[in-house]
Formats: sequence, structure tokens, C-alpha cells
Amino acid sequence: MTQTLASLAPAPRLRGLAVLLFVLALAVLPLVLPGRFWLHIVSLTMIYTIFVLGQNIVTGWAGMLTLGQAAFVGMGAYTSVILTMQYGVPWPLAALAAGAVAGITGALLSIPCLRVKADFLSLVTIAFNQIFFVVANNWMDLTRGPMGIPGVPAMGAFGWQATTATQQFWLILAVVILLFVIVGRLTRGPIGRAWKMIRDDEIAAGTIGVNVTGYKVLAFGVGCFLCGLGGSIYGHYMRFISPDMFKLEESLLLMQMAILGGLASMPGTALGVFLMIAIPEALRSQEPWLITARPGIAGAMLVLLMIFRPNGLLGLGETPPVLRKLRAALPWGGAK
Amino acid sequence: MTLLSCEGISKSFLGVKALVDVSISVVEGETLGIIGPNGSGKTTFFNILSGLERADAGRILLKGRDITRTPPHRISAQGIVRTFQNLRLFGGMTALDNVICGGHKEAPTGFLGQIAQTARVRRAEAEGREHARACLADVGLGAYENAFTTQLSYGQTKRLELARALNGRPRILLLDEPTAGMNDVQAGEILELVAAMRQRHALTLIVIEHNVPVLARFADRIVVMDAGQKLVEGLPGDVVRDARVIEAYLGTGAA
Repeated sequence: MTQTLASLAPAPRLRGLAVLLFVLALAVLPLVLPGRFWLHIVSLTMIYTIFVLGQNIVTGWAGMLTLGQAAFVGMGAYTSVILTMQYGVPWPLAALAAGAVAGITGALLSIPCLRVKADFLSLVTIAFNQIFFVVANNWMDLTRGPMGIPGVPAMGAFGWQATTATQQFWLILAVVILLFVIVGRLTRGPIGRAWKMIRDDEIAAGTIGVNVTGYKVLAFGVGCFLCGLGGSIYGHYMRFISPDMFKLEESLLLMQMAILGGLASMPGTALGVFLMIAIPEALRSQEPWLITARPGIAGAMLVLLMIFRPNGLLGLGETPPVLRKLRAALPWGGAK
Repeated sequence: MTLLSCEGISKSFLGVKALVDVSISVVEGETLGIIGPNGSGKTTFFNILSGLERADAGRILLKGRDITRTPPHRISAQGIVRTFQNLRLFGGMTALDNVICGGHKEAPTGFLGQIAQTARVRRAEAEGREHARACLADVGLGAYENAFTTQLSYGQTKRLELARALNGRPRILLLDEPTAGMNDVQAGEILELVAAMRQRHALTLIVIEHNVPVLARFADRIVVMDAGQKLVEGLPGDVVRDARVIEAYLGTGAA
């Protein structure tokens, strides 16, 4: 099945055209969409795309099963909100600082993690997520704890603020396009190849000349930077943050979206978010149970995916080892 | 001139002595064959050479420089490249991408340069791709650029791994049973290919091989290993007639 799909993929030039048309269609969306509600859903979807892109770098490209990305999103959100509100730092700087704090923390956290076996990495990142939640929930002086921080200023710079939904939409779209271009360039070149080599065969990667530990730490750093930066946008878009926005459940959702759409795939990243955020949010008022049932639906989808399309909906190539391991854990999935 | 010399290498795993005081050296441009029964320590020797395992004792000198405790990626950077007996290809990539990966050391990996896609980065990427294409064509897989490794036959995957190693621009190429699982015709083809590459890239080769007659034609010198020790070392013609070799392979009385 993978071959058929590979041959169906459009030629590079056509693909570029398709992406351009898609982006243009997104850009004019605020002019045609009826009302704020729909615009909000697309904005939220784009923000989540940043988180999942960060997750996908660590898990899809570099092949490490991290289950605590929401903590880095939260770390970015709190960094940015506190910097802007308490220290008057302009938002663009605060957003970069948010990315940097999350990225550096992620890289530092990964160093001891890489010494333990791959499966323990998931446990360590889960633990980190829980610790982050407990700290954010209890450090009243800094975070106001469970009450959260309301009245977060809107994104903006140099005296201008993105106050209308349309302005926010375009600002987020611009950031997402920029990040996709950057991640695209990184992953298609030697750095992305080194990540994939590590994912596919660490030993071979080492003997080829890849500094395995170095590239793993780099993947964590970049992935967590994206989550932190996305967290800043999230906080200043929602205008309110609280610890329960960054719980472990959120991390699991990010992982599910990355796997569902396709590991190591940028269009897959967007598709995964569309399915798990845009659709349930859009149907929130008519079908409120969808949000509640989302973890269950996601779980069922993942099981079906592992059986029928182990590389994710848009993932091509061989089954990544991460999924092979997950699939082997299924009672009926052991046989290939 | 001695290019690589291993002096008194010992290694044991939980009390099992895999290598006992093994000294092997190679001269620039030479082809050294290593033979020996299963479990005689050949692959362990390769693993230590390429930095995957650390020797308990002894040292390895590359052009006089001690590389005993150097991690794999730095050893690779100094020109020692290897293949694996059981193949370690990258399953999630096409054949061409596998070979491109082999040239990782040559690629510019500066973070900002990659994001900015500077002229230098673009040029290096294009050159790397062309070099990889040439390597793939050299091993006869030019038509399989876009095939995933699972779509290739066993013989083709062996060639692919060779192409990937060649794209690493090795000075010393370690081949771990390049003809394992092949019939004599296929094995002959592969070794012919390796000989052509040896000529063209001025390679120094260390080859682990089970097929003694094939190796005897191909190698300048042969080391025979048994139970972690170097049993015999010498010219191919002498080695295959050595009583100790025959004993190790066929048992006592066979001579």
C-alpha cells in the first residue's frame, strides 16, 4: 500500500503549487468565513499544529517516544505571559524567550534521559509533565496556581496589538508558515537525515559519522523550542492560562495527533491536528460529547491505524521502530 | 607503511573471552582477509575497531594516533567505515537516501546555514546527491534510487550497504561478510565489485569472509582466528595449507 501512495504523490512542482494554493485559501479565510467562531477554530488548529510539529520532530523524525510535550507548551506559555505582564517585555521577545526556555529545558532534560533505555524516556517525560503541573499549580507567587492568569495581553509589537480575530489569525498564520518553512529546510537536509538515521538504526548512524547523542539532544531542543514558542502564542491568543491547560492528557493528545497524521510528515502534522482539534471543536455545540469522547475516539483510531496504516495517514516508507514497538504490544499485532 | 595497528586487544563478555591479546596491523593499500569459525571473535574485532565496543585491554593506532577510546562517529570521521554482517540499512528511506546518508560527514550541518539555505549549503546538498548517485550506480543499483530497502532483493541490499559505505569516502573499509548468504557466482560478483572499488578509491580493506577459496584469490594476506585468538597469519597460499587452520575448520585428523 505504501508504494501505491508514494506513486500517487504529486510531482514536486505540483506539490509546491498545491501548498501555495492551500496557504492562499487559508489567508483569505477571514474575509469569507461567517463570524468569529469559525475563525477561532482555524486559529486554534494552527496553534496546535505548532505543538504537534514540535512533537513530531522528537518522535517522528528522531524516533523518541516523548509523552510530556504539553509541559513544554506550558513552560513557554508561562514564561511569555510572566515576561510580558510583569516585566513589560514586548511579545516577540517574550515568545522567543518562551521557545528558548522550553528548548533549553528540553535539551537538558534529554541528556540524562538518553542514558536510559528508550522505553524509560516515555516514563521520564510523563513524570516531567506531572512535576510541571504540580509546580505550576502550587507556586502561587509566580503562577497564581489553579486560578490561572487572566488578562493576558494580545500578541503584538511596537505599539501595535493584534486585537481583532482577523489580525490574530493572520499573525498566527504567518508564524506557522515561517515555522513550516524552517522545519522543512531542517528536516530535508543533513540534520533531518541524521535524525532519521538515528530513528532507523542508531548503530549504523554512529558508524556513518553521526554524533547520535548530540543529534538526539538537538531534536529535543528544537522540538521543545517549537512547543514553547507555540505555548506563547497559545497563551496570548487565549488571553488566559492555567495549569490544567498543560496536563498530561494534553501531551497524549499531541502524541496521538502526530502518529495519526503521519510521523515525520509535515502535511501529516496538519492533518492530524485537523482531525483531532478542528472537527471536535467545530462540532462542540451540536455534539458536545465529541470533546469528552475524544481520547477514546483517538485511541480507537490509533489501534485501527496500527493495523491498517502503521505509518500514519500521510506517513510513507517503512514502519518506524517506535510504532513497531507499540504494535508488537498489541495482542493481535505481533505478527507483521 | 603501517596504516592501522591493533596491539594486544582483549575483550570479554561476562567472562566469555571474545578476544585474547590479538594484534593485527594493516599496511596502506593492502587487503587483509580475516577468517575463522563462528564465534572466533571476528565481528567483535570489527566492533572494537569501529568504536561500538570498548576493548578491555590493548590499543588501536591509526597512523600512529591512538583511537582506542574514540566514539564511533569520530572514528568514522577519520576514515574507518564499515558494513555489517546482518545489514543495517535505514528502513524508512529510499535507496538513494540511504547512500546520501553515508556521506553525512561531508555535509554542512550548521543549523543556521540549513535554515537560511545559503548558496554553500545548496551546493553541498546537490553535490552530495550527485556523489551518492554515482556510488549507487557504481554498485549497479542506478535504477533503484527510489526503491525502499524492503523492495530490494537480498543481494541488492548487500550492494546498497556497500554503496553507502563508499559514499563515506573511506580510507579503510571494513567489510563484515560481504558475501554471506550468497552462492559462489553472486559472491564472485560482489568481490569483483569490491576489487574494482579498491582500485578506484585506493582503499585499504579488511574483509571478514567464510568462503576461503574466494578470499584466497582476493586478499593480500590472511589472518585466521579461532576462539578469540589469532591462530595464523600469512600469505593466502600458505594459510590455506596450514595444519592448524585445517584443524580449526575441520577438526583433528582431517589433514
